[in-house]
Order: sequence, then C-alpha cells, then structure tokens
Amino acid sequence: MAQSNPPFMSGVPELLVLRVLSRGEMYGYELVKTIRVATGNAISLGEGVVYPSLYSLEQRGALKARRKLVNGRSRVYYSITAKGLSRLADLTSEWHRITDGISTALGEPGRA
Amino acid sequence: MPSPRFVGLLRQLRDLGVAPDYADRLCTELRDHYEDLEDEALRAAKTPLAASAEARLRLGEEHVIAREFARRPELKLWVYRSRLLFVCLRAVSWGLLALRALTAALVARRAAFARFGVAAASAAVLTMALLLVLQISLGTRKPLSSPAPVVADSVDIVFEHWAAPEELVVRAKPTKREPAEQPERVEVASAENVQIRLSVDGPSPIGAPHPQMELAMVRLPDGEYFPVARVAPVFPQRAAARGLEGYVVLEYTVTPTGAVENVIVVESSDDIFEESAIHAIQRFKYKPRIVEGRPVHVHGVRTRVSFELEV
Repeated sequence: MAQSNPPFMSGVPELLVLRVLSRGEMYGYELVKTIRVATGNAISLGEGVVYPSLYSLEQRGALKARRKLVNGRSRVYYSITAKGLSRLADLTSEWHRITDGISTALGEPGRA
Repeated sequence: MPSPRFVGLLRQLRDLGVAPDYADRLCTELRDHYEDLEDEALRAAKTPLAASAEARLRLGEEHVIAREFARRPELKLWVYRSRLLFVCLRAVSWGLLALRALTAALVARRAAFARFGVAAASAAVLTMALLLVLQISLGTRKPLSSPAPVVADSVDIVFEHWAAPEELVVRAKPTKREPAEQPERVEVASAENVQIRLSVDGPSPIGAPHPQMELAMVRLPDGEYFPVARVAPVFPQRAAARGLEGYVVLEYTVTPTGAVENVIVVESSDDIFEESAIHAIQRFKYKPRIVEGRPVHVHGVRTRVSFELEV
C-alpha cells in the first residue's frame, strides 16, 4: 500500500535533531551548531525555532530533558529515548525511500 | 524570571495558550542561546554591537518562533486545544469577572444602595397613597389596593349598557314667537334617577342652540358614568310650525374621556327631529365609568329625546 508523502521538508528538522542526539546529549545551542556543521550550512533556520521541535519531541516521549550545571551556568540537556530511536529509524527509512525515488527519477546510478 | 529581552515573546506565547512551563523554559533557553551566539561572534573578533546583531539574526524573529508554537497543539494548555471549549470558557470567565466586579461594587457602596432602596420604597408607598386618595375622591367603588378580579391584563373590558334609556324632554311653543323676556326652562329627566335642570338664557330653544347651562348634580352610584353637561336640543322650526310632536331614541358610546361618539338613531317618530337630537347628544359630556381605577368605554348608552309642544 502506497504511503502518502509528507511535505518535502517537513520532518527534516525532527530527523536531524534525533540523528544528532542519538550520538549523545546536548543543549540547544550545541545541538544547532552541530546540525549546522553536519549539514555544511545547507540548512539555515532561525535557531530559536529548534526549541518548539525539542519540546514537541519531549512531549511525545522521543526525548528527555534535564538541567545540568556546566561552568556555572544551568543548561537544559536533551537526550534521545528508546521511543526516539524508534522514531529516528522510521524517519530515516522514510527519508531514504523518498530520496531513492527522487534519485531514480533523476537517473542517478546505484541509488535505486 | 524571563529575560527582559524576551518579554514580548512571552506575552505572545501566553496569548497563544502555550503552557507556562514551556514558555518560561523557552525564554531561559533562548537567553542562554543568545549569549552563546554573542560569545561565538566575539570570539570571531566582532565588535560587541555586531556580535549582538548577529546573535539576534541567528536566533530568529520572535513572531517566527511563536508561530512554530502555534502550530503545535501539544505544547498548549488543554483549554486551548479545542477552539469551542476555549470560547466557552472565556465567556464563562468574563461572566464570572463581571459578577465579581458587580459584587464588589455592591459591597463597597452598600450604604448608597441601602439609601436608594429606602428612597425607592418610600416613593412607591407615597405614590400608592396618592393614587388611593385620588381614587376615593373620584368616588370609585373599589380602592386601588383591592385584589384584581379574574381578568387578564391584556383584555380590554367592554361594558354593554342595557339600562333603560335616559329621557330628555324638550318643550316649545307650537308657533314661532318673539324671544321671551325670561329664560326658558327645559326639563331633562333620566331613567337612572338623574335630575338635571337646564336653565337656558336668551330666546326660545327654537332655532338656536343654548350656550349656557346650569347643572344640578345628584348622588350617583360610585364608579358609574353619568352626564355632567347636557345640551338641550333645538325644537325644529318646521315641526313647531306644523304643530308636530315626537321623539328620537339614540344609542351611542361614552368614551373614557367622557365624550359621546358613534351616535345612531334607534327609533324615531319622525325624521324631522333626528338631526336636532343627534346634534345635541354629540355635545353631551359624561364622567366616564371607572373600573379598576381606569376609565373605560361604555357602549350602548341610550337616550330618548322627546319633543313636546306647550299647550
């Protein structure tokens, strides 16, 4: 049964956040900086926008948040949960399905 | 305590119904994020002013961040998740606030409201007393305070008058003559024990109306209508010249103002008398019938006007 595709860029921030946090816990600024470096500045968003995504993932149980005192500053660190890992696997699979389809359409070898 | 820099954003988030925990936490995290961005820019040898500008730019505009929250209902308070529920609760809260304000005003101005209540009650009692005095002075049968009969308020009470007709006797000389030196008297008799004697100044009633009347009032049943001014009919010249006598029975309505209207001829011996009788009756004035403190129409009032020649 064919699945309906979400809007092209919808879910990308969520995918990136979960992917980066799967490597270890981070706070907001650190997370955004890692995503920017990891994508080679390809994705440029207002950095404040990442927080609604983090809260939403936390609300759905994909992330956990905890306060941590670092260098005298209280920061909120986010870490992925088992549910978040499962969600990351689904999103990654979906992403590959879409990009493979697009690669096939564009005639790129070895992607289909 | 949120940073003053994000007070505007905090207000937007609360207006959108974002849960206070998330709103406050966002302000704290944005403040830290902003400071990290500034530090990064300063480390890149930028001036403090340029570092601050770059930090604001990278963080994004407040309304964009607020919009991201707006499209995530899971971050809002539960009352904001249903539009209908939100509207209903807001209406209820406004009602409660209005009730609270009203109660506070009542408590704060208790003395003023008490004075107003006493004054209003006194005014009502005084008004009722005055109306009662007025009612008694008008001679009505029932005081205002008496319980109302079983009659709906919206029903207009109409009384039909079935009593025997009043009788008015007009006497005149059978032939035309010179004006008399003494005023001529016209006797008016009523079937309701009303005796009114009209003293007519000037010439004979024949051919001219009578401008002045002297009224003698008698005791009447309380609240009943009765005539207070009557005009004697003119004996028609043609009838007097021919030596004709006759009568006219008229039926009419006495209005709440005491006027006479809807006059019809029920019976007459000769139509020669009708115009004169009608003309006179239309100029009658009554004290209207009073029922439950208010004047009412009396339909079907009858008066018999007799035209007699003096021997």
